[in-house]
Amino acid sequence: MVELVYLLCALTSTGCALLLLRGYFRARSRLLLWSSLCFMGLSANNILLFVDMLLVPNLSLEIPRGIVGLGALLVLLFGLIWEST
Amino acid sequence: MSSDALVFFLRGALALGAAVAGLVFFRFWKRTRDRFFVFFALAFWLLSINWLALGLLAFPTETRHQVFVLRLVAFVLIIVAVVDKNRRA
Amino acid sequence: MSHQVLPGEIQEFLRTTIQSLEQLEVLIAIQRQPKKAWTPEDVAAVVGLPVGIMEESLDGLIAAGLARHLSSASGSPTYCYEPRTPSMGRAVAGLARAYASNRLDIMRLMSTLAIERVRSEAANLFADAFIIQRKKEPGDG
Repeated sequence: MVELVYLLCALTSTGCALLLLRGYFRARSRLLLWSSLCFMGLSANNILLFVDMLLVPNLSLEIPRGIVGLGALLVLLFGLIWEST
Repeated sequence: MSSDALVFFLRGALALGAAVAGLVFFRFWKRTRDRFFVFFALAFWLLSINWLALGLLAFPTETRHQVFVLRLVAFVLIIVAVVDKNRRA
Repeated sequence: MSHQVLPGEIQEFLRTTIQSLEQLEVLIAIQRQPKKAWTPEDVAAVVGLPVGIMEESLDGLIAAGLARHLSSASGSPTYCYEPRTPSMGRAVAGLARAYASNRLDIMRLMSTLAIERVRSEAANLFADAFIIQRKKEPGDG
C-alpha cells in the first residue's frame, strides 16, 4: 500500500516534468526547462524510494536519494530566482 | 562526516530548499492571482515539513515512517493544481 | 509610495488597458484631435517614433476599444480616436490631464508596470505549461 504512494509521487513528478519540457519547447522560457529538470530529479527521488523499500530492503539508499532530491530543488531554485526576478 | 550526519544534513537542506521554493510559488500567486500557485506553494511547504520532521524526529530511515503521508498529500496537491488548471482552461 | 499622486482610476486604466509606452504616446496624440483621421505616418510625425511601431500601437488601441478604423478611399489604413464607452472616454480625458501635469509619475508607473508584466509572464508560462489540452478558444486568450 505504502509503495503505491511512492509510485504515485514518481508518476506525478514525471508527468510534471514532461508537461514542463513540452512547455519549454513551445515557449522557450528557460524557467520551464529548469523546473522540468527539477521534477525529473524529484521523480528519480521517488523512484529511488520505491526501489529502496521494495527491491533492496537491506541496503539504504537514503544518501543517494537525498542528494538527488537536493540537486532537484537547487536546480528549481536557481531557475526560479535567476529567470523570474 | 559520518553517514548519519550526512543524512540529517541532507534532510535539513531539503527542508530549507523546499520551503524557499514554496515561497517563490506563493509570490507567483501574488503576482498572477492564479490559484494554481497556491496549490504548488502548499505542496512544497508540505514537502519541507516532511523533510523537517524526518530530520528533527531523527528517524534512522525514511522508508519506514508515517511522515510519508505528508509527501503523499503534497503530490496530491500538485495533481489537484493541474486538474484545476485544466478545468479552468 | 511613488504613485500616490496619480488617481487610482488612472493607475488602474494604465495597468489594465495600456500595453506599452508607445501605445500611451499614440493615445495621447490622437485623443487631442478626436475627429481627425490618422494614418500611421501622421502619428509617427507627431510622436516621433517609427511608422511600424505606430501601426502596431494603433491596432492595440483598437483592440483595447479606444480607437477604430475609418473606411478610407485611398486604401491606406486610417484610424480615429473613439472610446468604446463614455467611461473609457472619461478615463482617457483624466489620463491626458495627468499626462500634461504629472508626466514623470506616469512614466514611473509605466516602467513599473512593464517590469511587472515581464515578471508575471514567466509565472504565467509556468502555469500554462500544465494545460494538457487547450479547449477550443473562441477569441478568449
